[in-house]
Amino acid sequence: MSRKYRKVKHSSANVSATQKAYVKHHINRMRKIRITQFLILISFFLLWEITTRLKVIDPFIFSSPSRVLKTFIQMMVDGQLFFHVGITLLETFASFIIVIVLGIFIAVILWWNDNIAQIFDPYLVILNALPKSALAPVFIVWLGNNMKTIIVAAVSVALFGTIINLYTDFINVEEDKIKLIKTLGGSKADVLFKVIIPSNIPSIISVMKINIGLSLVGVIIGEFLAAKSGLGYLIVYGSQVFKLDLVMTSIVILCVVATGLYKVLSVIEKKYK
Amino acid sequence: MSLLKIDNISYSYHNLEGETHALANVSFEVLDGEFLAIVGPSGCGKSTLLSLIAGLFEPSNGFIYINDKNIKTSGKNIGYMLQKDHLLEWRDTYKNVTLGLEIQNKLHENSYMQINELLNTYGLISFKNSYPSELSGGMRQRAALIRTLLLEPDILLLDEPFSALDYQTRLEVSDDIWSIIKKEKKTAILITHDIAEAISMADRIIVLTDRPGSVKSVFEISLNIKNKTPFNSRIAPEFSNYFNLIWKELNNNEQKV
Repeated sequence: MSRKYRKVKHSSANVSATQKAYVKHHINRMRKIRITQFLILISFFLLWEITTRLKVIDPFIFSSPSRVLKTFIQMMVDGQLFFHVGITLLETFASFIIVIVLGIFIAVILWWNDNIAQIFDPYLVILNALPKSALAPVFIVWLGNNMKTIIVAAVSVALFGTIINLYTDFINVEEDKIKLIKTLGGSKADVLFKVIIPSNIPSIISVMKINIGLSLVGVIIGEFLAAKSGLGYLIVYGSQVFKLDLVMTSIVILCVVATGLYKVLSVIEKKYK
Repeated sequence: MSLLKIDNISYSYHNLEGETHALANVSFEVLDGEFLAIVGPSGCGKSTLLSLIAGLFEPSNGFIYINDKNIKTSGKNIGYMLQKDHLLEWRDTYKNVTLGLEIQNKLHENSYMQINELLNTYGLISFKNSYPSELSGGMRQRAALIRTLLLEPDILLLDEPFSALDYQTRLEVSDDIWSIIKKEKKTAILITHDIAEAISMADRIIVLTDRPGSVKSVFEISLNIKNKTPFNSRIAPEFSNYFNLIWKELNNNEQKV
């Protein structure tokens, strides 16, 4: 945020009074929005802490910020935090990369051959519409109680939507751009590599942005059912043994992890714009 | 000497609703170094004709010869300029003008001299590393033309290349493109629905009938002016005569419908 302020102030040098007033108004408004956002966060945690202290709600079931903080510090000290977050991140990245590579590859095949695209269209629609969590138990039976199952589950959550989105974007590239490549003597491969892929970099990145979130959803579903480690496992394990401090701490960490992943891709997206 | 010979070609589009006859028995010849314009009512198959000459698809009937060789064996020596410049937004000017060379694997160490020379001659050298969004409409069209010229085509096909430009830019760009084509001694076929544009640029004008398009009449254009440029042509005394002639010819067409 401070960077944005500086930018605005810098560009406001040597300008009219009305422009300065406008910029000042804008900065004030942004500042108010930030402060309100921060206040909401603080009051949420305060309300949570106070109501549990006063026993309005049961701290054993609801935990409390101070308990979460204590659990968090303890998990940092004994290294559990890094282990479980690491496992979840590893599974998320693995499935994310598989989804992107496989998604682009299959979308290219469908774009390349219209017959294949038409033949597989209804199957893609079914697979995309199916709630993939229904498949997770099947994967456990087939693949066992391990990381493979979790990654396959996560891939299944994100893959079909990715294929459909990318394929739609690929076939919607301006017809004349394709004609241009042909008039320059280019082949279908030239059309793919000179026009279709480069013109779809923004849409590939926006698909990636959605997928990093979906991969995390898939990984957590997978960890609920088939894991001995990871944040999903901690949440399920904690709820089963009524260690709600552990559950709440894991959820808070998950919030941070999810936001962090999203932010990383937002930065990449900005670089390409 | 005739460079291009169109011999009695016809073309139909097919879809499930039926067949559309776009062109019927079109024949004409284009001389080496000539600037030919083709005008006709909209939907009369003008663009189809260019696509056929460019070899993008084959005529249903008839033949196209370049230098007396059937187009299928004559190689890709045709440059095609589309309605819009279609510079690729993610490539800078340099990468855009070399796109054709890159596709045909003709981008060598010694191409750089020629590329720089063309960019320099046509006022784009200082915009070599600019992206299309930073160029004016005229610069974009010149870049598109250089992209086509670098492939050293025998014939340039211009498919209403100025229609996306505003009127003022359009006049400037017509002058630009016309003088580049004349300077490089290229043979060109211009498709347009703008009669004035056709008269101002062409040596000869072919008027097509309504769909299915065929040759209706041919006009040799000779304007009595010094230093011919498309812009100067517009003030030639014969200009309005040609305009009226061709206008009548086109309107006859429409009354038949």
